[in-house]
Amino acid sequence: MSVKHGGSALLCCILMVLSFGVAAGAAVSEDIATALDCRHAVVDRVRAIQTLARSDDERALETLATILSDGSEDGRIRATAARGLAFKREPRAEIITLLEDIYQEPSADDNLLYTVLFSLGRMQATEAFALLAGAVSNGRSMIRFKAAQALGMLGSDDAISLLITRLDGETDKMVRAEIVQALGETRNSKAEAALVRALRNDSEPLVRMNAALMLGGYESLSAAAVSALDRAEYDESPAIRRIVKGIER
Amino acid sequence: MRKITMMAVSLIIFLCAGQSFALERGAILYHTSEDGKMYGETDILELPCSITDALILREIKSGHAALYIGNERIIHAVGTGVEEADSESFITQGELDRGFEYVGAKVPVDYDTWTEAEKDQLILIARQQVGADYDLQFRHQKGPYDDGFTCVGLVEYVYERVGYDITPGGYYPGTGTGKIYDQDYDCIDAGFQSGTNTFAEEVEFSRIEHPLASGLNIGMIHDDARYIFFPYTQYLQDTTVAVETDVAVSGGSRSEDDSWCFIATAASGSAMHPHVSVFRDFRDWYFRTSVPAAAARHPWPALSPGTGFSRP
Repeated sequence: MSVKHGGSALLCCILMVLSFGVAAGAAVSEDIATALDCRHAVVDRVRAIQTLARSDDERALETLATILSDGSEDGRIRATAARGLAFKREPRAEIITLLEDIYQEPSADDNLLYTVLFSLGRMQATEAFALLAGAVSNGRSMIRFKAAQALGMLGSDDAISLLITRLDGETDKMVRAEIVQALGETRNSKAEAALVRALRNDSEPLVRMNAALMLGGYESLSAAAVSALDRAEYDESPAIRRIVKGIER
Repeated sequence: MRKITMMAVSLIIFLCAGQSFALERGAILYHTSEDGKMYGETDILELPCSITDALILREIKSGHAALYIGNERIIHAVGTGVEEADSESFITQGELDRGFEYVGAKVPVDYDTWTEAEKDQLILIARQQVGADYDLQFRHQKGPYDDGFTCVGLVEYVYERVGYDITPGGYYPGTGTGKIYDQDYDCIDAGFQSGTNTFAEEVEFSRIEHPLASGLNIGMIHDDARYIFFPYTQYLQDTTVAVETDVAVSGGSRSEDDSWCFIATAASGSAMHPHVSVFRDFRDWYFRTSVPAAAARHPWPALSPGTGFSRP
């Protein structure tokens, strides 16, 4: 009798698991259909793409890749798919290649390009170093800005070296400030030396201010950094003077 | 002759300088939703009833907020993520036709004392967020990164990062300063239930009670209740003052369908946004990445011109 009851319970459990599986599969199918169909409202497609990005279903990856690769698709829907793929992270090589391909598209819209660069950074895609190295020298300042941000997220030695080189040649203060932030967040000693130079020599208060802030994040500072911070207490910018006074050294 | 030369030089300089605008980078722009409505602006705090309306919470009539970054460009969080756009697309022509109204622009009360570098820093931080997700379920609202932003959450976050707290943190459950409204949800989807909605006037988060909110997993959860940060709450704060808008903020042609600030939708993946305090996120991030411990108590003393605004 007990064996019978046990068998029924087991059968019941199996049926429940199966039915949950079927229901989940149906939900994924529905999300895929919604994500791919441009007749659906953008909000529904975004919701579907975000859900697919967090799904373990194998079909989700293919769907996001299809949307991202479709040049006729709305740029912002593609950007959502790019973020979704970066969130999934695996299979890494394929996702990075897809993102790199989008960056090379001549007609990709600006916000999609920014999202691609940002996503490569979020993935710490050291494999995309060559692309990011090109982007950080792009003619458009916002592309350089997002590339610098992504290189900082990579945090690799070659990324740090490149950012240090770019800091000297960059003409846009906003991009230089982002390079300084990107370098500072690595907490790397080579980066520290570059921050010291920026704090001492950069003509723009915005850049010096970020150099001071980033140096303030280091657990221990070199003698050169301490000296630069001491000197910055007399910086012409009151904002920098206030920041430096708050930094322990 | 010398006078004529001087006049000619002045004229050339004037012409070369082109058009210059008084609206400063860092100004916050606000507009209403359809028919000039903006949640909290009137006494009636109605939320959509049916699941169709609720799934597209444009019906919430939340309004929208964006950060002006200069040169007739804005950065704002819309349903497809944080993006940079022309300021004229802040309110599209189609939205104008549907009764969306520009509310105005505001800057911090002491913005004239901010240095140029401090104002630039706002833009720098806003640019860093471009490409981040939109928080479809309002579970975090102030990002960063994968947690996503809402429109007003993005603006608040950027200002907080430079140490200026526009809207004091906190939750308004219905006791304190704000508005309360009992709503009957008279539709099948909502089971003809009722709820009490609030609008916070002095702190960030307003409590909402909607029969579908739990099922759709919408809102930041605090003390077993669900909360949303509305643009009009931020607009009301006396930490900012209104300034003249002399740039185009409407009439653009951005796609109509994705111009909403407040949308929400059901999540099939219920664990996509575990509940974590947004303040903890912010503090953790800041301690980890930016500042020495001594400065961390006041994240950015130099960029807190109004430290008195950091009300508890």
